[in-house]
Amino acid sequence: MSERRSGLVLMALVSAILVLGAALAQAGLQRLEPPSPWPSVGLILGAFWIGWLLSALRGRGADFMLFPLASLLCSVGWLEVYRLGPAIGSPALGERQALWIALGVGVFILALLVPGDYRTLEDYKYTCLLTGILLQVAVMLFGTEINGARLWFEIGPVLFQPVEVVKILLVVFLAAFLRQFRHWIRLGLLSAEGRLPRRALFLLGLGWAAAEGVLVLQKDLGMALLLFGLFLSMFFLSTGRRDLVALAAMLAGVGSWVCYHLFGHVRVRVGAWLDPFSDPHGQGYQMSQALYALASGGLDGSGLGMGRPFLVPEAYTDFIFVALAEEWGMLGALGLLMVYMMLVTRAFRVALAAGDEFGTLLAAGLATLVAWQTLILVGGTVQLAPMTGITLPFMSYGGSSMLANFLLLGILWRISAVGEVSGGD
Amino acid sequence: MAIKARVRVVALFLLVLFLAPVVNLTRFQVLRSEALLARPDNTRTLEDLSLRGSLLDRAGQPLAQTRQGRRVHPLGPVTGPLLGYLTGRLGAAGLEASLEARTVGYAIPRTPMQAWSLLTRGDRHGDDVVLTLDRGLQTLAWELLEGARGAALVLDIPSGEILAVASRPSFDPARLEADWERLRVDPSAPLIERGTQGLYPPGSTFKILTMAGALADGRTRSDEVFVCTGSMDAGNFILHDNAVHGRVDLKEALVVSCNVTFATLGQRLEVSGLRRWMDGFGLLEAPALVPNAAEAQPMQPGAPSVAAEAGIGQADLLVSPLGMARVCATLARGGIDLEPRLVRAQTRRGQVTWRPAAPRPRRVLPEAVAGEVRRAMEEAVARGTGGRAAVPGVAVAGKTGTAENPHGEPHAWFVGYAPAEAPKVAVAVLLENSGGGGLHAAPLASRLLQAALSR
Ligand SMILES: [Zn+2]
Repeated sequence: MSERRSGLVLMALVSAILVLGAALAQAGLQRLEPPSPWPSVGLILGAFWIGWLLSALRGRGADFMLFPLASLLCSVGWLEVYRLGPAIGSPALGERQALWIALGVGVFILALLVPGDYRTLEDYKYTCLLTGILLQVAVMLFGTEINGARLWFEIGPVLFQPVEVVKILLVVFLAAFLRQFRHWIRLGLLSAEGRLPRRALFLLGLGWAAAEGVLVLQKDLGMALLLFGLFLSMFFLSTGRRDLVALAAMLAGVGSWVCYHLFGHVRVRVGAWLDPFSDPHGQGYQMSQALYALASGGLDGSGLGMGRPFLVPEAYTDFIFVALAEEWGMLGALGLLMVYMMLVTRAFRVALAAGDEFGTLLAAGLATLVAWQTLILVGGTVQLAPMTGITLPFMSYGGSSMLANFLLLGILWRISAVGEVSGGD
Repeated sequence: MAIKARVRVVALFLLVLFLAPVVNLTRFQVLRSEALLARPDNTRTLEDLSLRGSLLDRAGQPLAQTRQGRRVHPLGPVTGPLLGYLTGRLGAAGLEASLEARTVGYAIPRTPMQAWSLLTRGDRHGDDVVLTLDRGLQTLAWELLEGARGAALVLDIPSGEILAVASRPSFDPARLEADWERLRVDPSAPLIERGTQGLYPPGSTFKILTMAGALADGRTRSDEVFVCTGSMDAGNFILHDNAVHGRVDLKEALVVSCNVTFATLGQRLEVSGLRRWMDGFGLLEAPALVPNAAEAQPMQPGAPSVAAEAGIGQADLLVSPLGMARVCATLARGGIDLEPRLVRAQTRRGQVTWRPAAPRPRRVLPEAVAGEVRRAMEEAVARGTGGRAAVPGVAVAGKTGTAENPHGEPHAWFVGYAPAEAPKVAVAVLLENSGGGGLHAAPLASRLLQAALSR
């Protein structure tokens, strides 16, 4: 009951931040004649409160903090997207993002209302795998090419990025598959007489090949890293073999080294990462602009609508964290990282409270997905890793990732709702 | 359950990883912040574009203004390289860069009202800068250059103000960032403003300076007769003329543009004398109120032929179209120079906050000498090489030029002024590598003078 109250307090806080932030952003942008934020704010708040009330009413001991934490991230992200829109010449960006948030909450509500049990997902593991693979192959063959990468389907006015859904399908598959076969895999490992753990190695090899395939075929460094990180985490969760995980990580290192030497575009990315100032108007442009944005933000930031985050290319998608760090300062950025850590912690708590192995693996897998994705993206924008084209969960502009992340949240909520009820076993 | 123990391990591992971005955020946002902000390629140090004042033409119409965080130039390529650009990505160039201090900041308030409005309204807008350009004339000059490479410049004689300075090729400032890679390496240099920054051999247009200098120094008299055999020994080679002009007096020599005569005068003045006269006409120093203007490059002493060649505007001597227009205007004023200017005033909501000092008239040469040159220039248009610069109903004075250069066909020049008896406007037209000045540049000058006079 007290947890439900904390959730309520957080929701009230989210509403206040959104309203105050929108007023500040509108004032800060006065010269750009921004569109009124209030229809969007109304839409978002309406969606949030309906989502919150439904999840609070229906949940029998479900996790009441997940949704408010995600709402907080959404609101802060929306404020920055709304603020960037007029500055980069597309004033409707905020309105479109508000619509995506509302639709995302719709997906979340749908996930709450679907009858049945999340455990039935386990029976569809191969369907999930096949759907995921088909989507990826289809987008490589028939997708629309943007910036030299074929990662999108164009459906009317909307760009759909199937990989956002594929990630979740993959977690479902891995959770189900590893739960079913983890003893079989361990058996393979345990067979003594000095034989190699063939089944485990085979599986690891497959995961490694899939990640390298994404890297080579789709030129998507971030996604390859994310898939491999996710796969290794879940492999470790189910089998507990640290030695094999370490081996695979080393293999990945070797793979990256080979890629670096084989492919020009990887070398260019790495070069732009390590020394953005060697070519500040060309390859290093985005990274050097990102560093300038961080530097000009300083400790306490320029204030919402008062900075110049629009100078960083893709500030509203890949580099939204930098835009936030500029205008909300390092303190704001640390606050956001803490919100992500809380969200991830809550997701892992769902995994710990789940009543069955599949639920535990699924929830932990989804938590790992959010954590890795946040780490890779934030790392790429603060020069810890080569920059990548993945999105920041709940914050980046874009429909596919917003819908997918709310679906992920819905699944977590379902696991938590059941976990508490039958928590005895 | 062993799995749950491992969930804790993985969760802890990932949460610890979240400390890594904190380290780098501290580095870039606090520790290295100052150093990053000071980097030269960091355009963030420019003031917010939305606070910039506008650049206006002499009638107060905008030539550059900030709309929705972007700098727009309503005349587009017509003012392309002159105004330059102002973008977050590429920084600033042209007048946008040179006038930055004025459009970013504001003049110190001088009246209590100005101070009051600054204090009470928290008005952070930079001031506007009024240029001397005339929008209509600028557009005409640009249109006349259609299909050519070169520059056309109009100078207001009484004030020394530049009314128009068009340059081709140009670029579309709205598409600058998209076209940047192409523009940067384009061998025809569309980013260079040719009217004030372009330096060219002046060719025969330089003869007006040679004539004025030689007369003022007493190296010749207006009634001296020269004998032109179509060529002469310039010291280390034979200098050829465009025709055998026979016996010509000084004025006639300018009317027919006789090379032998002016090469001879060049030899009499010597390199030092020519250089002194270039300095006298103010060519060796860029005018302070024409930002980015290039000063002329005088000939270097060396081979014996240099003085002769420089007398007819060849050798290694280079002058901008602005420089030649200035010489014309000085002669037209009877030997009095006014420094050309492009900046009229700095204003705030229409109120002048700063105005440059009025130009100081400077006598360059005696009025009688200027009168000799003016009469010759008048006849050069009336019946000589500059015939195509004539304007119906108005007497025009001028001089053509066909300047040899190492880049191919000669450059076509025309410099002149009108009306001849009471000069109002001076023009300089330069067409790169397009042949004879009388044939190609003079007709453009005629159109420009006509438009400038009926302004
Ligand atoms: Zn001759």
